[in-house]
Amino acid sequence: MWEEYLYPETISEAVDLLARWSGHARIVAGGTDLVLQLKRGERRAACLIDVSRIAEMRRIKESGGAMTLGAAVTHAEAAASPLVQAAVPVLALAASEVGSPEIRNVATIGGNVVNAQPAADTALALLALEAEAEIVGAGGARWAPLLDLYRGAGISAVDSTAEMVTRFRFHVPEGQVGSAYRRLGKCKSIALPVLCAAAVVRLKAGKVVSASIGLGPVAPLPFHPAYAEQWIAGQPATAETVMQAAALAQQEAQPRDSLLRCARDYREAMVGVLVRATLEQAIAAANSASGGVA
Amino acid sequence: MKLMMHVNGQPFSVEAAPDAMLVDVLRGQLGLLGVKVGCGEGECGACTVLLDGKPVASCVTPVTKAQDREIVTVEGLASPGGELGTVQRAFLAEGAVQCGFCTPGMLLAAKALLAENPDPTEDEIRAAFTGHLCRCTGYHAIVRAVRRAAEALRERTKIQLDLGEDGDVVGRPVVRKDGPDKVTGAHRFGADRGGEGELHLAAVWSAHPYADLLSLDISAAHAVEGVKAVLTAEGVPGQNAHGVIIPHQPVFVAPGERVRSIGDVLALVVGETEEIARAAAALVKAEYRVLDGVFTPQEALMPGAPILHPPRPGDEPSNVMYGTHVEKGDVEAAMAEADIVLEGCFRTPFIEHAYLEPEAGTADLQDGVVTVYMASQALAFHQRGVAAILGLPPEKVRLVHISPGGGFGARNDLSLHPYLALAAQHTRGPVKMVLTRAESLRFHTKRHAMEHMVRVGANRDGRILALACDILADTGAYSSAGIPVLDQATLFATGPYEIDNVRIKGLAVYTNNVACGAMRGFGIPQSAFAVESLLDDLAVELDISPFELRRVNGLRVGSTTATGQLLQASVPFVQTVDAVEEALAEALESLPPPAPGHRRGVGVASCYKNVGLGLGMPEPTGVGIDLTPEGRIRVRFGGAELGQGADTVVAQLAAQALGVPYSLVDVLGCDTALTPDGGITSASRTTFMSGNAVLEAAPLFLEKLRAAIPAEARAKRESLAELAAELAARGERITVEHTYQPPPTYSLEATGPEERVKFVSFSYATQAAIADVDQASGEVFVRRMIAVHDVGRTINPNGARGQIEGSCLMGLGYAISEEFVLDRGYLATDTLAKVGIPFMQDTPPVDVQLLEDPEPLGPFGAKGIAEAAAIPTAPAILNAVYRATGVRIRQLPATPDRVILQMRSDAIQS
Repeated sequence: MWEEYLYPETISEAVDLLARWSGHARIVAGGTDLVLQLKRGERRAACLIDVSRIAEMRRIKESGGAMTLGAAVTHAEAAASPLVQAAVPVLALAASEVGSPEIRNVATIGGNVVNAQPAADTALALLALEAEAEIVGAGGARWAPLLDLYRGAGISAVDSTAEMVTRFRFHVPEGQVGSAYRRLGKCKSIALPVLCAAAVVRLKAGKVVSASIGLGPVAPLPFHPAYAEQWIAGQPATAETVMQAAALAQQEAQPRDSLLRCARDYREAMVGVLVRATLEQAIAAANSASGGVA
Repeated sequence: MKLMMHVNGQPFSVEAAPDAMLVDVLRGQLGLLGVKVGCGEGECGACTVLLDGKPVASCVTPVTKAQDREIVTVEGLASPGGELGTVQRAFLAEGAVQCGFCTPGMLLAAKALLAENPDPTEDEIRAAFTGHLCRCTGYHAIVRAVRRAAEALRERTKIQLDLGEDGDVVGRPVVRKDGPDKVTGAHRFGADRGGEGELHLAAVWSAHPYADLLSLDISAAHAVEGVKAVLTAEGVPGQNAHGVIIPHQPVFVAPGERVRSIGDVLALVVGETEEIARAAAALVKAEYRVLDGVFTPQEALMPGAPILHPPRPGDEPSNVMYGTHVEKGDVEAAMAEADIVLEGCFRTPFIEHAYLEPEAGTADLQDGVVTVYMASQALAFHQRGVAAILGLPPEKVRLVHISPGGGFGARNDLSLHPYLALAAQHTRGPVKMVLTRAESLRFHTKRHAMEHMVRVGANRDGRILALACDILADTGAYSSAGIPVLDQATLFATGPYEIDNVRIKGLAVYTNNVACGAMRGFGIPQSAFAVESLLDDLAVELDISPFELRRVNGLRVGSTTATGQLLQASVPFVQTVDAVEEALAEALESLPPPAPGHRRGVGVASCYKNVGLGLGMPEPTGVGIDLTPEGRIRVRFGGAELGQGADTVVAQLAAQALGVPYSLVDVLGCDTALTPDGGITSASRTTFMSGNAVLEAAPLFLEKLRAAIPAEARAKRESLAELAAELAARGERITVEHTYQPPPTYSLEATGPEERVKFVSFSYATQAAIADVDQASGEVFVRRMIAVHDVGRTINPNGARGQIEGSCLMGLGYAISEEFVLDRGYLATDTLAKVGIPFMQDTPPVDVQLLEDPEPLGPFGAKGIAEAAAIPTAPAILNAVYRATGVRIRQLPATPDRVILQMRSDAIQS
């Protein structure tokens, strides 16, 4: 499948190697998705550049109300991190839902995003947190909103033969905050999820200041029901508001038929159900004494 | 490239390709065959190893990630002296090992969990095993084992194992004969064998489900360096076909013929390595004329539909494979009289067996004999089948059964055996073949998809007066075990009830779907789903409890079945009903209330199942008992150990009957050269048939023993060893071979008054399910199951319980998540994850009760129980869904979207 497997120690080393291999090398971290794709011939690489040992890509930092996560942080690490659990529990929860302990021990947040599946748990949580990603290539480094990293289902805008995602950052939601994560599947297992949703809400004086929702798979990309989010800002944090928002989200999302992921009508209806459930839970969490996650 | 790894405490320098996976290096270079490959996709947990103490899936881990790291495999769990570790002992003590394929991965996950969390809650245990599939145990014994190990580690106590070193062993949870090998990774499955320079095989599969094969060009494949041969239909010396009943499934489809399913094989490449063989197989060029196939029985029965098989002499061409019926009394008259008549149409899908071990085997040619080493549930029958294909007399073919990672019925068909045998014959040397999971999914037979139209007529008092049922089964491209499956579905459609007026018709139809064959329950789960659901509707309509309905109609001693068989003994069906009712009250109380938005319901279902083939089929069952030169007792029987514990049960029965310690008894796996023909390992017959054979052979053995040394009344260990040595010195042996002839049974067609006995025995069961349904999403959460099973006599409580818990897991999957999907004949379910098997977190606790009402004809009163528990589970769960929501789901699986769809449809109609 590949002829060389390299372990750069720094980001610049990794970028250098990518340049030297002129498009024939790929970035890998945990490898749980990429290895399967290479095995199946869906992707090719003459060389793999493994970034899982680059120290700066494994760091989790919080300062000045913002949190930064290295792209090579594993799901297990994110789920167990006291910083993450305290500041953005929805991310810890989503990370703990990915696959199995075996997968979480090696699969990374960055890999999850670059794999570009519309229903990746942590990506949805990052979306709800309105995260940005740093992409580093030969031309330098740039920050981009999370959705910009997606071009289509399974198609990343990041060219892993020329550049790499190094870290994610987002503002730690302040004030009266609550979040929720819910996964709907045929089985509570690592099988294909039918639908997942992450929601982060901020309340003030009984009103919704903002709600941020990440939803998938309803579209080729992870989905923000933007219209529903716009509408809900300023509304009273009541059951009626939640139902209205859920109905709006349902209209916006347009899931496709799938032989294995349940029929379209059902998934459309479940958008409403899931958005309602996660908003309700998030609001309840925000209202509870300690705030946090449902 | 060179790598330094530390494995099980030892440093290793390995030379590996940069793209080698950790599993390949551990197995291939370090010989650590305890690391298994179940799916190759990181989904099943069989390949789990510990990397610096953390579980990882070694099949998707590049070996470089192990550089300078500490790895632990199952081989590292026992002490250097070979003493088993605590977790291993716990698994043996709790019966948490059946086929053993998932066991190494499970042990390592347990070890990692307990290292981090010495006192895990049940939820924490289940969360740690999310990545581990088990198809045999239903997970419960594994959870119990982990808890037991945790306790022993915390308290620094040693877990006691019952090794059966003295006393009576029937009814004791003695450690399985194959247990120690399975918890150390020493047991050799198909893919673990070889490694001695054998050649490797790769199949060329049909690209289409229905097409004319116009041409096959193997030249490019032949030209690949390292390819030794490419076999096709042309090169088959004997018969190019096989089948469980009708021998019409081609070994290879030849140019000029038609492929009928996506599982058809066109050619076999023989190469120096598996990689070479597979690469060459991809170069075989097949030209097809794709045809419009038929993918439902309805399509196949339409006028003008393509006919998939030539008709039998005298028959009209059609896609009907087989039809059967059972009739008793006058159904129409009874329906007219009944106070109430209900009807319904029910559908069940194809189901994948999903054993953890994909098919694998080896073969060799030596001294003119072709030997195949591979799992088989029908060894002697398969020996004849392979011989016919090779054009050899049966004595020139030897089949050795290798205990597989699960069977569940699919090993009744010839599998890789013909390919292995042909390759060994052709190359005159050792060969090996291992399927990937995707290949396994397309290749072996599935559970039949069926449609049942059922009508039931009853009186206000609950008495069922009449039952009419039409069964339409999709048997796929080849007949396999379709005929007996349809027979069973038809015969047992009445359920365990005495109904005077019965008319059941069954029809099995060919389609271009994957061939369907034997799977646990053998047609009865499909019928039970339909009938037990409709009877639940009846109970609701009559406002009578489902328990009362069963008491009023249940079979008892003195009842006659639908075929007129008088039940004379051991019919504790009503006791199973009573026991479930009683256990339910306590179960309901112990559960926390349903979550907001969830509604809870309780569902009940029952079944009865035959023990033994019956229906007039001869079932002579042979067994051999030998005194070995070391003074041990060796039992040779033809039953196949598939993980279900057949070897262990037979050893226990032999020990008991001979009056020797269980620890002194060894069982020789079935081997056509060494073991007598025990018939097939199917129909839940092994304990009964082989057990009786052992009980009859034992006194014959003891007689020979007494004759050899007349003073010996009861064989004691030292004496047996001395005796064996003495006999060896005299050039004598003590060995007995005996064939048990079960009481006669008669075919369905036989209607004489003496010919009503269709089966030698039956087992009965009732189950209940407590399920919560999420009203908004349609998700069904089964919170608890209760299973009361008539076992006659428990031989090994761990074994019996394990079979029931495992069956309930299959039933759970059948009810809410499993479906083998084909898209107009093309594979859609192409990975293990897509099969939809419940994982540990999805599996509710099962309260198992083993009811003992001895079967006079059974060994120590025992009956077979391997299949019965897979029958009532799905209807019990679906009945619970109905009771929770008022929604009657008539199609399996009851996935969330089906539940919601039915809810909406009901709402619109009302």
